[in-house]
Amino acid sequence: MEGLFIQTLVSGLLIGFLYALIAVGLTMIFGMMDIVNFAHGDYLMVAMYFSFWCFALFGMDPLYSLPAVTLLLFGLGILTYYLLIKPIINAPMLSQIFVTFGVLIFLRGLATFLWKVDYRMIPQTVLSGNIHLGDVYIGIPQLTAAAGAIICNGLVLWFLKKTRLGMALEAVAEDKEAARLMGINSDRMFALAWGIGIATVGVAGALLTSFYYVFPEVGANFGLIAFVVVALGGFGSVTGAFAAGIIVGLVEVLSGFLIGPQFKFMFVLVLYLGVVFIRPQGLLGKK
Amino acid sequence: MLNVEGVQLRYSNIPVIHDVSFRVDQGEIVSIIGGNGNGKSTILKGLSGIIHPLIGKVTFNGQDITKASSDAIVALGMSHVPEGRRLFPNLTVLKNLRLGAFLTRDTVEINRRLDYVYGIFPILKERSEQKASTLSGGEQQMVAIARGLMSKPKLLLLDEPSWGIAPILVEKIFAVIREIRKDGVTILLVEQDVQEALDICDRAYVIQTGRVAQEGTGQELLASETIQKSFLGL
Repeated sequence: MEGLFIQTLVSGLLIGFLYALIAVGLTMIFGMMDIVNFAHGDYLMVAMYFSFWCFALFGMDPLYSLPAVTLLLFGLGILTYYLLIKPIINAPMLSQIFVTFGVLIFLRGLATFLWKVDYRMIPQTVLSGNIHLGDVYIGIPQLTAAAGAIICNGLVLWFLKKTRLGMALEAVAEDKEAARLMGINSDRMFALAWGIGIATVGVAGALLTSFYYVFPEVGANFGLIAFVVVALGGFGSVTGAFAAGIIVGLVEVLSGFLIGPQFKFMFVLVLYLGVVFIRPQGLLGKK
Repeated sequence: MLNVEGVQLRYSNIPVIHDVSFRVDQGEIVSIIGGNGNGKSTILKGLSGIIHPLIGKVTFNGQDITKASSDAIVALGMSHVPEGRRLFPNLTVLKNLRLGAFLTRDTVEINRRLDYVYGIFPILKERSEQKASTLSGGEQQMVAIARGLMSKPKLLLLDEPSWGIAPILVEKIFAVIREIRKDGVTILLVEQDVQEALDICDRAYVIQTGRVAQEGTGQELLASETIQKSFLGL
């Protein structure tokens, strides 16, 4: 029993890091321009399919195609900004919701049209296998995903806090007009935020494909969880998303373990409601 | 250095500035005064590219900047210290200052400029790792001015540098403005404190209901009856 409990904690922690990585782009884009990207999870789906097809068509392991997937999603993020977001940047919130929600429907529809609703999985990857520590089994793909998520989140944080461009992103997030007075072109910074924000889901998707099914609706659940993570961590807070990702991962597996797996997402959503009622600004959010 | 001809500026499509012309020459301190809500800040926004004039022309060192973007204007050597300071509140003082030099990548040059602004405001060096929002109003104004200087401007636009700070610090801020001018920076000042604004300036323009109502040297305007009546309560 005790071993099983530790096993549960470990898997919660591992998936939590990945949740944090999926959420980081969402919170970053929101923090920069107050736009909620409802299609966030569906970019994850795109990344996973790309990763899958790299394997199916070229025999490339998801781990090796990761840089390409990341780059592609970076480009997709920038394209999304210039094509769809820039025209509605000063539009009423409702229009903004329609646009990103429209992207969600479009991407899911496109994936269903092109690749059917089949669940696809890569049977064997370079990461397949387990390691055991005492009674605890840890899947190598999950462990790699968690490590990748930590590294990637660390890089995002380093970029934001330590580089000239990262500082400019933060400045735009704090005060757009003042940032313009510093000579910062906010348009380019927004595009960069979309590029990085979507590239991080690219990394997450590539890591996830090693051990998770790929199907057109796969983004729905992960997207929803990303929202819970962002709300819990505080909208716009990158460090908050990191902490919240781990919390959500732990809540999910612990409630699944203690109460029943069919209830695990219920508790995640209860957590979300609790945050909204008790601390709407989230753990590390401003306001 | 700066030439503004027949400029009209709108805010949410309502004209705030109807028809304003003025000039600022190299090495001058020029003040723009006038009551609240007469569009003084709007004029500065129109110069720094936050908003663009629909009618009229702005030239800076011979270049037409009427429709230029803010980053291009900063690159040309104009820096705008906005009303209400507009610091990046959750970033440290040092980051605020570094952002002022965003268009420069040369770290040696950035450090040289940091030394320069720390020389003017030594207190900021002590505060450099503090979040900007934790500073007093006066210190925040110092950060705002220092940040404006970090782009090494030829022309510095100052909007209400005395806003919300203790009277003793107001004098210090104005002393600093004189010092900055001595270092070769031309200054365009928008200021509520009419006495100070006219004392410090070479020339001044009085803005009323979006138009230039009066202009002259600081001394002329201080002696003018209308100014004394409407602004100085004499």
